[in-house]
Amino acid sequence: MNPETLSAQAVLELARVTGVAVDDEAMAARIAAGAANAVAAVRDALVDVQAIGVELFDAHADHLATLERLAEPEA
Amino acid sequence: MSDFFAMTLARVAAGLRAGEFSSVEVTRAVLERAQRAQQRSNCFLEIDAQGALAAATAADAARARGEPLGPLHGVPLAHKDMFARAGRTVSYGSRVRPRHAPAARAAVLERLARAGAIELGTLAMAEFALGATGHNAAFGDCRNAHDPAYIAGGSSSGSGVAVALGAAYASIGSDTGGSVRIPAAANGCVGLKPTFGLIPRTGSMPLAPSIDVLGPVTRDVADLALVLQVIAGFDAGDRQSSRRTPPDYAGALAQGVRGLRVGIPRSGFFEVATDEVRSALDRCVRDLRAAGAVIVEVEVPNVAPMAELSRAIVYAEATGLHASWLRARADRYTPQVRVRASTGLAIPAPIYFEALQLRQPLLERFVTTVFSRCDVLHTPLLPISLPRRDETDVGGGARMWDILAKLVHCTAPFNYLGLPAIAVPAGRDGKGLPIAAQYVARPFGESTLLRVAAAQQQAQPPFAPIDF
Repeated sequence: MNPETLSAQAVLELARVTGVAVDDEAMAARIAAGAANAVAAVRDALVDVQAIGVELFDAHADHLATLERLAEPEA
Repeated sequence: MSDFFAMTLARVAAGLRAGEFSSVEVTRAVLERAQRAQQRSNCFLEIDAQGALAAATAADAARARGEPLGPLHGVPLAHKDMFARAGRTVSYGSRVRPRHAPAARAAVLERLARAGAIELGTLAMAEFALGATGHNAAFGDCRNAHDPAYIAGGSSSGSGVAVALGAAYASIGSDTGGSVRIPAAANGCVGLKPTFGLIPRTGSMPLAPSIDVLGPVTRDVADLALVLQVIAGFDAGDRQSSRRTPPDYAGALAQGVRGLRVGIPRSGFFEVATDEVRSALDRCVRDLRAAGAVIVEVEVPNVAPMAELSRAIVYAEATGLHASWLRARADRYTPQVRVRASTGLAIPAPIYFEALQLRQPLLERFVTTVFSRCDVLHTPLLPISLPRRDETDVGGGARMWDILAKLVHCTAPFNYLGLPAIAVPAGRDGKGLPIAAQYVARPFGESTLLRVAAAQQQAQPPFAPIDF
């Protein structure tokens, strides 16, 4: 199994804890597979930005403010 | 006059202001077109002929009284069924909330109404905007305007199809992974995904609030500028609404592209495109060079992971938004969409938060790397030929997953980054189906995108409404 993929059993447990209905292992496996690439991409991207010295702890989380700072100048 | 549907929005608006024809005449003609479009493509969820004609009658009466007229006075439009209208039900393309009737009107609809626009009804969409093809097992698939065997694109499927068929002069959709640009491209329209924060989302259905944007679809670039001018700008009801003053978008169109630097990415986009798409986009580059643009090759940071980073956010937020219904009425979701809406269960909270935090460094790197070398980036919109509906339906197997990934390959990274991007028709493939180019700019660079789109449109005139 891909290390970033949760097991179907783990998804069923999370579904139980959150109260979200997941019918069976097959559905849980589809959910896990759907998320696997996204989880892997985040982990890879973390390595990538840390390699250029970015520390996420200091990153500004306000996306709109970042966009406005990097924007084309107002006419 | 029987060819109203073939006119641009700007032409119809000008004719209405001048009293050349009435809103009732235009609305009747477009309603007739909408009825036939519905039979052909299932692009409407509801056609409100009575309401549209009443609004058109009121618009004509207002003009007769000499009242001030807005820029869209008497012009019939139709929008994705995801916007609140006081006392009217809204479906979100789903059977999960069949009687949901919000108390107030969405900010974009309010602005369009103040500008004088009329609504013809509500348009088809993927269930809860969770799908890029136009399939909808709850209400039936929306089918491509050019050939119903092919996908309409999604999630704003009805927006692309209705506008392409001349059944509405413009439409507002939403774009969280390509949902305005893909149906615009698939049906030969212009579609804008604006900068995150430019158009307020107050009263619109959320899918992933950290990423969602609303955007217009039109047949013509000048029409898009006209609609954007009406709907852009701050609204206090959306906490992520920018206070920047929108510029004169229509005015930007006349500036041309002389000296503008158009960047061709060295990697990340064209290597996944088919020869047919590459050839069509080569022609766009030649046209822009002939119009005075400077073509430069640019290194682009690896965008492929950004589509997945975006998914980490979309899945987590969508599952959070849907959790109460997934507990109480999961059986009302269609099976495919239920799985998509539940996928956030498998995104651990730290991964979700890190995906959000990564945006700042990745956005800064992208903007400083790319837009120091060019003013707009030129990419394919859909790198592959448009797939048939049966190739992308349930049970399509491994090939289906490959196609679905390619549909958003060039669009979703810019949702993650929040950058503005526009889909512009770029000819047809061997089957006569549309091909589109995409242009991407710095944050709030919509005027620059419109200049390039207008130049491309001048070289390759917009698709006429389909004769059917």
